[in-house]
Amino acid sequence: MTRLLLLDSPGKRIILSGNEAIARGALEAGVRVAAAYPGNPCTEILEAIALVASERGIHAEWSTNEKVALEVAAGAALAGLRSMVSMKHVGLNWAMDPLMCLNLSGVRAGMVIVVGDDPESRASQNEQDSRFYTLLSELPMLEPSSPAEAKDMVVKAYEISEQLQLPVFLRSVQRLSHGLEDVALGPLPATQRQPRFVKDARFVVTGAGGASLRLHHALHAKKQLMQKVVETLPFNRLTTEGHAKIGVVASGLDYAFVLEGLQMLGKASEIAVLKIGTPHPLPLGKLEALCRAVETVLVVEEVEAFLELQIKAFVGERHLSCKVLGKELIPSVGEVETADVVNALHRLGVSNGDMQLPRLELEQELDGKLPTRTSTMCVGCPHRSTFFALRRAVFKTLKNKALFCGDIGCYSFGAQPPFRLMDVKFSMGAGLGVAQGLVTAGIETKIFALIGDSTFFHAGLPGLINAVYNNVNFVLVILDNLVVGQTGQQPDPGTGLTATGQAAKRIILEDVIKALGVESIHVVDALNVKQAEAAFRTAIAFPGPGPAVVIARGLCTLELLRQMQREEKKVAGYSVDQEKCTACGYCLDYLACPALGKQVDKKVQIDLGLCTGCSVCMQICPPRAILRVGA
Amino acid sequence: MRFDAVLVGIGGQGVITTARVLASAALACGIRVKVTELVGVAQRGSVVIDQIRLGDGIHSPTIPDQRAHVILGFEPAETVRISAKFLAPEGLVVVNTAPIPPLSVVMGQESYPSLTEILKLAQKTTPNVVALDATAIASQIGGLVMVGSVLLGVLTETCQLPVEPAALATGFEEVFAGAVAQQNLRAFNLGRRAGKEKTGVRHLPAF
Repeated sequence: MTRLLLLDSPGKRIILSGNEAIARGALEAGVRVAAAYPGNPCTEILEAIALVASERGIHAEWSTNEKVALEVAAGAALAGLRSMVSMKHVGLNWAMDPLMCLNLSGVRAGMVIVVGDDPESRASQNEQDSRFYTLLSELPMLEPSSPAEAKDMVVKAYEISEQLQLPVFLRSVQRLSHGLEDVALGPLPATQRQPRFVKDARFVVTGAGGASLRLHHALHAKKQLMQKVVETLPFNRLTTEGHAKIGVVASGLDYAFVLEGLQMLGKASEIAVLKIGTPHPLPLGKLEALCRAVETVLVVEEVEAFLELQIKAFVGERHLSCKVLGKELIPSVGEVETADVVNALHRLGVSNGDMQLPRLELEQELDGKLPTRTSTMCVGCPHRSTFFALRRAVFKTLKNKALFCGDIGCYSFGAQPPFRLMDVKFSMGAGLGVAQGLVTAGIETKIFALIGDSTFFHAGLPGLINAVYNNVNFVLVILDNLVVGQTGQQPDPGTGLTATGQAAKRIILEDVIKALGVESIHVVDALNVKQAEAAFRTAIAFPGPGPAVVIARGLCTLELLRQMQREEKKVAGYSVDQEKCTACGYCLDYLACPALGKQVDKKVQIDLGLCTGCSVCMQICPPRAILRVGA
Repeated sequence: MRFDAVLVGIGGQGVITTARVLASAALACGIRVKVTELVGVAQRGSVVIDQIRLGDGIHSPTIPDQRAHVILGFEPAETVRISAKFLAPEGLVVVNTAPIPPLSVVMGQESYPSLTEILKLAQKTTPNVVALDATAIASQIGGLVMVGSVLLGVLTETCQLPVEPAALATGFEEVFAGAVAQQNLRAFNLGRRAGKEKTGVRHLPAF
């Protein structure tokens, strides 16, 4: 991929994912600073840029969180260097605070904010529609309908950003970020800009002296220019025939589904289509032309009625007579598919042709005869061991009378049986705060919060400070697997490596927590069940003041396996002595490691193709029937 | 020309990499490509579904229901599970018969259908099913992760794949480094041999 990303062959076509195309766009636009926090679906953008950062003179970093990432990119843009910040949709919630000043101060070099939405919540806690942030921030947004267009949009976005002196959004979605396409490369810039900070009173965004109001006026004044710019962009495109009665408006990937649907129905030439490349501001000239040409406008978008609300308001404002339909016919939850477009058009009287009826009954029949497939922690995951120890400690000392506030990461699999260690879960770092709310409310149950190391750095620190400062007693478990696990094992401030693989100072969690004044701190080897369980019992018994913290540390197994492969080390697995095994089922019922297989005689055998040698099953087996292979 | 295929398997089996190889190979033949990847939390044992669309004039990166010419199945249960939604009537299923039991089966809570049952279920969607133990073949080259390359080999011999075998070799070299590319090529050729032993080239349903 490094080689392909660095190719300076304008016109050559290569296979790129949406994320890689966005990264390539950043290279072609001469971006010099890229910052991000890992988050599906956008993680690979910074990863791709980091691969080529040193060759291209780019600073690429994983920032502590999306707010810091945006601030870093903003600083670079104020200093005259083009920058990019990328994040998942909920990450933008963090970055909005500084952005609501940056829209007022403006930028000097181009800055693009890439936000990846997740319709269908395939890898997120929600499917929020980030396009609404453009209304709050009054900033322009580009939304590509394909990976190839994403690259072109990135390059153009920097021009627009510098023309307006404003940061520009680029919105992607899961299927675009992770979809592949053949993309034609553009040229890579030959020269690099020099950084330059020119003092400007507008960089001080404050209410004092009416400064903020003046900047707000200035932002509004930029709207006219914004409107003019989007009207001329090739990304907004109206195709209308004289006799079309129905017009379809679609932005982003949904435009592709509209074209596909029209092709399937054989109606491509009878229906007007307005492709929206800028969900904000809308190309009003083309929109008005469409509304005047047809009787009914169908808006196809995911997830919410963002375009629809704007279009309905516009139609009302201009007293246009066309009917506007959107979420009346298109799903308002989840991904939109070609079939949704076809069904909506069918309900508007556009004939179905010879469409295949979905085989829902057959689908259900087949699914019913097959075992369910769920995901869970990897074989050997240190979190499984931590959860086992925690559940056993809670069972023995509290008779399971406990409540657990979870957080974002692989450890959220602790919600599953057999551990069931999750009663509340929201967003990054929220577990600590909610736990304190439960304690403060006075419930007579021991309260726990569970969080990962990178999540703690990102969002948990203020919550822990709050507990010390406001004297709230609960147990905080930090599951430290030394990387950002769920998103692909990226380094975090505790890992010791930067995004580009350079050595980095390791921030030691227990040192930070000690410095806060927490009075009960325990650091344990996550894979040492006895040690972990003892620490949990002590933490549970700690009456305060303030919280007790247990740091359960164990390298993420996927990262461990990768390291072992690099060092050409082999896994030393475990196996069950069939004579000693009593078929008690304890390991199956209480550890539930996917490598443990139940045989016909109810005894257990370990799949050595899966076993990573974590030894936890050996530690917990009551008849001590499990041994290291070769021991 | 239009060729729509769905690759399905479990995280870690190489579904995504195999899709990349096929995409690169198609591009090497001058064929336009669109791929949709559904990954979710696949590294932790869940399903991966890649939709590959080759040809001109394709708009959507997702295959409309019941329009896939081929399902290339890395895992039997998951192959059957998606077949009714994606496969065109009389489309071709090329499926690896080596199961990866989900956690519920490993724990003894659910059962995994026998191979005979799996094939019977597959045939409810189409009569054209080519089934073989691609995992066993891949193991000969020393890598379960070569399953995808074996299946690609089978595919070239059991349908009118618009991508030439020589182009697939290029695909391996684009996606893998040196020795690994050669290993995958060997797995691919073993797959071709196995595919030839099954019934001959089938005609793709026309659209």
